[in-house]
Amino acid sequence: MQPAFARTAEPAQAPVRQREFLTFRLGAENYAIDILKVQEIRGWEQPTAIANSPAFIKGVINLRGVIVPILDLRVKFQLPQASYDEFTVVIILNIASRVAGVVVDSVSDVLSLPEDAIRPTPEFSSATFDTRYIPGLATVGDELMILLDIEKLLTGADMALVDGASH
Amino acid sequence: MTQTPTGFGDPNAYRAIFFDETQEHLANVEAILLRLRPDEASPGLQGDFNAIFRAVHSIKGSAAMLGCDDMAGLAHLQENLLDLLRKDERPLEAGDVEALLRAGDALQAQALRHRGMTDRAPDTSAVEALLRDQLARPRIGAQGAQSGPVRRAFSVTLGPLVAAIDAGDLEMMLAGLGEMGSVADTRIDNQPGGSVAFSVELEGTAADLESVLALVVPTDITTIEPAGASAPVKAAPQPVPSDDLGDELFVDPAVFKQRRAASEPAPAIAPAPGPASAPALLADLHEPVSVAAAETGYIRVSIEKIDLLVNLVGELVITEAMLARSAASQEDGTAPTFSDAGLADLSRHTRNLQEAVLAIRMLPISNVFSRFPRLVHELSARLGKRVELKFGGESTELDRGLIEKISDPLTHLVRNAVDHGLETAETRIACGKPPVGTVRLHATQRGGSVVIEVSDDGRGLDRERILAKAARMGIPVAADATDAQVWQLVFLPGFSTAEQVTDLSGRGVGMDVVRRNIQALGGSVDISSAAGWGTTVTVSVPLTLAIVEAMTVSVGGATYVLPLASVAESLRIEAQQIHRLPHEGDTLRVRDDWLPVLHLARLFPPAQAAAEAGGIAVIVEAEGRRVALVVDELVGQQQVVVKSLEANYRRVPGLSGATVMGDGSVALILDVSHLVRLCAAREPASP
Repeated sequence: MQPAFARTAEPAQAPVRQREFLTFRLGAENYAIDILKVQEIRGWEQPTAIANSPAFIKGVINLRGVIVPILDLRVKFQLPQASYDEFTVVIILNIASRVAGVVVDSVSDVLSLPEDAIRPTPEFSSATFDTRYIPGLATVGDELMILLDIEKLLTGADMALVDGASH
Repeated sequence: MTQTPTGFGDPNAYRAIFFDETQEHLANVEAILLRLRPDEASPGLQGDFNAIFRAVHSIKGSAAMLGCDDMAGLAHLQENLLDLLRKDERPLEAGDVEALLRAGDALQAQALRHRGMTDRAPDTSAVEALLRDQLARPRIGAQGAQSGPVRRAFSVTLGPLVAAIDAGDLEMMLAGLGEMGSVADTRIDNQPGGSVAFSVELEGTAADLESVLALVVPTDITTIEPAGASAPVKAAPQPVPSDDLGDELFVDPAVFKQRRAASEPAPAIAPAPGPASAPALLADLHEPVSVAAAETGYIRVSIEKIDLLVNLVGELVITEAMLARSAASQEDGTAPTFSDAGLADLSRHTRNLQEAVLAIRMLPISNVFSRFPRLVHELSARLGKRVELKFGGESTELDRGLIEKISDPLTHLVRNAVDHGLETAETRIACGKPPVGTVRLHATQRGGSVVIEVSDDGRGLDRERILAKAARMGIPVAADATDAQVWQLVFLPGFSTAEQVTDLSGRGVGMDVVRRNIQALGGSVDISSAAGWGTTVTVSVPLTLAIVEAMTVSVGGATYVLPLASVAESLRIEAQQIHRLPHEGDTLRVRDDWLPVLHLARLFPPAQAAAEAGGIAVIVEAEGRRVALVVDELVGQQQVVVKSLEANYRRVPGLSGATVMGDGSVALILDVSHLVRLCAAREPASP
């Protein structure tokens, strides 16, 4: 038993908490998002386009009577190819009491990670991608998992997904 | 007490109910107060006072239990004043009504704070002072003995009980009594056949005590005895044969009043004690019991649950349409998969279900009207005008969402009618009109819309003054403009003809805002007026916001929805009708008019351009302007269920929402007001 006043600056000394992530592929990379934000996973259906919206916003779909915006993370992350076929997957997310769908290349697995396996993101001096949305990295086997703060990403100003955020 | 009484398992749920009920009680109290005519001899007020007393008392009890001590304290003061009035210790004065109204407002403000809707604790010291002042007013028949509150002791027996009393109610009652005085010797045998007995000491009469007990147990099993007295008095209001005026402790207030009236020679305030009035008063006292019984026909349901139901039924309607379509497409094929009769039934039941569910959301418009007596009461006092407010068609039903949105514009119209429309009593008499002005609110249902008229019998709109103002603002008006055209000017932004700006209205932000708000609901506003006879403003809104009769159009393969109410006509464009003006965009000739043209395909560029684009012009109308909207094709006309785009996405300029079509796909609903304003912004000369 640890004395209550012991200094526990290192997280390793605290009881190790497990967190669950949904992992998916975008291009060559593996990403992981908090599974508690995921409502469901659906196949691709052609959304109704909203003219004059950013290219990564593919439009809105009818999800059991609710109008849900669909955005393509592949377009957002400037991946070379973004095609849509019967294997294209949409992750329906529940963020900040809103529902939104994101298109990814493929959904891989549900992953349970101890918190101490997550390493902070290295600092980039000239980042092409804003690392504010990436709270950490983790290694699983030989592969690198990029943790994505999907809530911060989707409610961020440049996503134009939420009123008032874009102007 | 360590254990929570069974009735209040979830304190939060109970709080919500308390706030709801407080709201209802306060609304009732206000309605009754505004009906009272102070300083006039009016018999039969005890019933009213008792009803108010009960409402205030139940607010006090629940507030104290939930720890809202400020509310309980204020309610207690109100109770004291009401107690005085209902025992007829002095006549009702205008000051009483005012003090009680203000106290109601303060309770409302306190409730809002407890609900967390505002952080500011209302300052109730003025209201409390007002109540205390009214309490201290001289009473009639104050003969020394009655000058101060007297504590009296009673022993109370409730029983034999037919059924056990709800533990929560019993708890609340005892706590309430404890607050009024002190409760001792409590013996509780709370089961059928058992009884509850206690002795209580409080500042009040047996009738007070009875009214508190009546909240929990029927009066016929209640026995109240003065402590130490030998003869028990049944609390049921039977005339007690006694001639001693001093013994008012156990006399029913109504009987007491009757006797006092008889013994005092011609008091200015006492009602004429006709032989018929005593039974009438007794009937008054018993009326609330039957009201309480009637209330059990309702249940409280949260709005979210109903909205969920509306959504689910909307889904069902769409699914039904999909089934019908796929059945129709199979008819030419081999074997029919669906039975036609079954499908027809399904479609009928679905439609009935949809109507029934939407009807749940409908509320009578009296919900809006009920706020106006208070408004007119305050306005008439402030402006020194005498106003009578009349209602018609209060039971006309309207969607709940609309009820909320329509109350602000209507408030504005009523305020205008009293402030600008009606003259002062002197002016009215000089014009040969009755001194009391009339403002009338009337609602009717016409087809799919509800028409609300706000009319006054005041001075009417002044054509000359409106024209003069238009000239000053540089708005061109034809010399031979009809009255109707002149009245339309009132709806322009910044147009106000009030000679002096009062603090109530006349800042020139009035009618244009009213019109914009009503149009945002898919409705319209019209005005008619005759000098010297008054003004009538007619507001028309759709019955419900959830379903809209719509026209569907297509542009480059995408489907858009236009609310049918804003579509004037549609026509095929001939090449020679459309002209390009330099720097101005296109214009389309429709008979003798030249209308600005909006190409929907340019506003909302489609993914793929249509082969033969822009063949049809739909003339849409909003905010008094007409615009030709160029589309590829008309698709059809149908009812659509309006869904919010903002709920999960954001507001998109030019779109007012989305809907789900028969095949399950999403179509966007165009915001016609926005489109029209786009054209207005393009016209450089417009003000």
